[in-house]
Amino acid sequence: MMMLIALVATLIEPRFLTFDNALNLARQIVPLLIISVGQAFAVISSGLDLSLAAVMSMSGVAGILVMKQFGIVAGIGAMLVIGTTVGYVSGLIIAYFRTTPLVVTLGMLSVAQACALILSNGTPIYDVPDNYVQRIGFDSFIGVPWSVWIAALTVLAGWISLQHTVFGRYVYAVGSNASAATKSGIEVPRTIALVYAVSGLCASICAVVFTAWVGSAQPIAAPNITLQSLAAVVLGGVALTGGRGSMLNVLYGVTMLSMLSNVMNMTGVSAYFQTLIIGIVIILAVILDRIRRGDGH
Amino acid sequence: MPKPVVEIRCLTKRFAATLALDNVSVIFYAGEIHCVLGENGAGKSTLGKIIGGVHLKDVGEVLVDGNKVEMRGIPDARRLGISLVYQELSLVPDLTVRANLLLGTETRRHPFARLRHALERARVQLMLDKLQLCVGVEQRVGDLPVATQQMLEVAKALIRDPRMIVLDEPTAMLSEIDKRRLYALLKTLRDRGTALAFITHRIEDVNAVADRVSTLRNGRLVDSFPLTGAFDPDKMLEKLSGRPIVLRNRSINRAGSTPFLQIDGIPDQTGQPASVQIARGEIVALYGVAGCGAQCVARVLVGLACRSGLTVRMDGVTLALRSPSQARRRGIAYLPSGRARNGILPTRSIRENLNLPSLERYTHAGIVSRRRERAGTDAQLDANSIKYIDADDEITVLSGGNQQKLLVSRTLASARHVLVLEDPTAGIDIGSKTEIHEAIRAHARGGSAVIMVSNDLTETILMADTLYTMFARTIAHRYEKPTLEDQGAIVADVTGQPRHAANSFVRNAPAEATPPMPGVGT
Repeated sequence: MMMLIALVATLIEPRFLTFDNALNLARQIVPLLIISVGQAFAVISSGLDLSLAAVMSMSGVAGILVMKQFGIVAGIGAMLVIGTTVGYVSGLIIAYFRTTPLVVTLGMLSVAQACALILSNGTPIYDVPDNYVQRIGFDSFIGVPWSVWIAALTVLAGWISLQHTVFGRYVYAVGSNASAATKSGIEVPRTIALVYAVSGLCASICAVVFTAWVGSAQPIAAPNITLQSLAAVVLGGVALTGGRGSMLNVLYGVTMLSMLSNVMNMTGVSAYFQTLIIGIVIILAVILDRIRRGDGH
Repeated sequence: MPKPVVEIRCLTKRFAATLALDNVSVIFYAGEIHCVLGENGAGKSTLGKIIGGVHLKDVGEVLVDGNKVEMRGIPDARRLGISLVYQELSLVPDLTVRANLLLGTETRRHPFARLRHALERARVQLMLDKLQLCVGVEQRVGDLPVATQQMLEVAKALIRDPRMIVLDEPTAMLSEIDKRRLYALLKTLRDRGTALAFITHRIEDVNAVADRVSTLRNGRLVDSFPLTGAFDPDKMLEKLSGRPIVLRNRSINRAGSTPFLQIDGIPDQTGQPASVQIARGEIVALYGVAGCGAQCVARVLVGLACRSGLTVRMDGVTLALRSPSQARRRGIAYLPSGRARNGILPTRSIRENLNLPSLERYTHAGIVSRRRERAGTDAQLDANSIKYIDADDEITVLSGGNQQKLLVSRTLASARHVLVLEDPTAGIDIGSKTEIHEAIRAHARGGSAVIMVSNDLTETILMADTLYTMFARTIAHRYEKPTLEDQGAIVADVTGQPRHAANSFVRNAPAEATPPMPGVGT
């Protein structure tokens, strides 16, 4: 499928298959990829996180404010801590009050978005340290931008924790059959709380990359990215009902979705039509998810 | 003198209005298989779950090795060396066999501790070998048949190396062969000094393995005694239900009637095409291990099979059914197995559940007459002796037996010509079982063709006018009016063994064969 898109893209637009474009594509992928890693944890645990974009905005704004006062490292630290904490709070509410992730994260979306707007007075903060923008936003390491490295490391860390740690196994267990997991002696609520801490952490990692890249802290940064991440995760083959899927699926889904918009950008499809097509792809992804699992018997 | 491992003193447990356990005292000894016997709703599962830390007791004491313990959850029980084999299984379908068996035993140092895949694999393989289970370590559990899952559930309890195992109805899903393997395993464990609590409602289980029996009725302990020598199943049945059980014989049935229903396209063991024929008024049973194709034959009748290549003729007309709804319009009613998953709507009322497929009886111009529906519901519930307080209560307030009676009743109500039954009495008490069997027979006498697929061999033999055994998607043999003496031959058929080896199989089976017990299970 991915090959097919790449092939068609190359036929229509020969510039697609160039190193520059590959690098360009990789950079475009970065924010969505990092967010999707967090989303994947939530979806595999049989939940979802709708607050990712808002949490990313909030930790970005707060982190940049801290950065102006206390320096770059403190700023980055603040972002990560804030994102993780907000996610963890959502997780605790979902786990211990047995509320649905849909409503809790929707509520948290509003809360985090409001915090971002309040902290920034509703306007983007532009005075970001040049050094920070240069380093994380533009510098490269062995020819690959730092932001791409960060995304790759996030995916790798996600893969390791899913496949090779106790936590990862519990995430699958809880997502597949929470009651069986409980009976096996697993502390299901703790696992769920941790899942949303991880998704919050991913949102804040994305905030680091994003603020550095655009050189400012936007109070409303990339609002569509949450839904896109959900689409990418499902498109890649993570089961919406939980219990199945891996980082490979995430990588695959994100690449496919991003390649699609990359191709559309290069061939000059209008923004309106792009939104339309992405929407259709999302719906198709859900149908595909159904078909993949048979008739649901 | 055996050592008490777990001792229960004056235990009482209440769920809302129901008194599940009422002042129960019982001792489980090391090196003993202790059967806890009772009908559904007698409180035996509750007892097991309190020992396993799933439920918390209200009043009373639990002693482990003579020390009073306060369990606050499953992990506490686990630490004390108590493992529970759940009736509803505690397996995660999307994880592998390996991950499932070890789930919850992983290191607790911190959540991101590494999993030792290679070590795990070795440990699980060892356990599978010990139980002679032929499944891949990395196979997805959800893809395995239920009987295998049941054995894995046992393996999962064993891998924790417990001193006390509570098994909650472990034989409900097992075929005859698997049952014998399980019995043998339990005896090995007993001989190694493990304390075993075997919760069951089946006298056969008691007869096969019990060293000690405790019977529960309505949350009270009726009796508890060591089992030595003679054992009278009929006495036991009476003790369980608190009323004398009238054992009935299989109705003798209408020979020579012409087939009303015919299913073609199943080969017999020589590869020749064969067919299953059912006359009006006849009960035909198909029996075999999971995956033998029996279920497929039943389901083709309700439009659910599996691109089977089978053809169905009813009254000489070929049917091409594509859904249970089409089947229903032709007067073919279906009772699927799996009450919780395929039967009831747990959040809806008794009334709604009962009338789900036949609400049109109470409608006029598309409007449901509540008054007529209520009256009709009460009448139907009473006619089927379903015990309820208010038909508008959620169905889950009913005991399993009563839920099943309701499902059978609603299925019978829409079976004008053909009745298709899967496990009609799985996991319910003997009293309800008898009533359901009687209802099915009465329905057959009324002129329906009945086809039944059940995992319960005794039930299959006692209900069937004609029994087909199946193996590897072929028909092995056909039995007219089978009796319990055919049991050995039937087991041989469905395991794919040649006839003459049938007896030796039984003798070589790890557990000695359960002698057939006439009458029990009717």
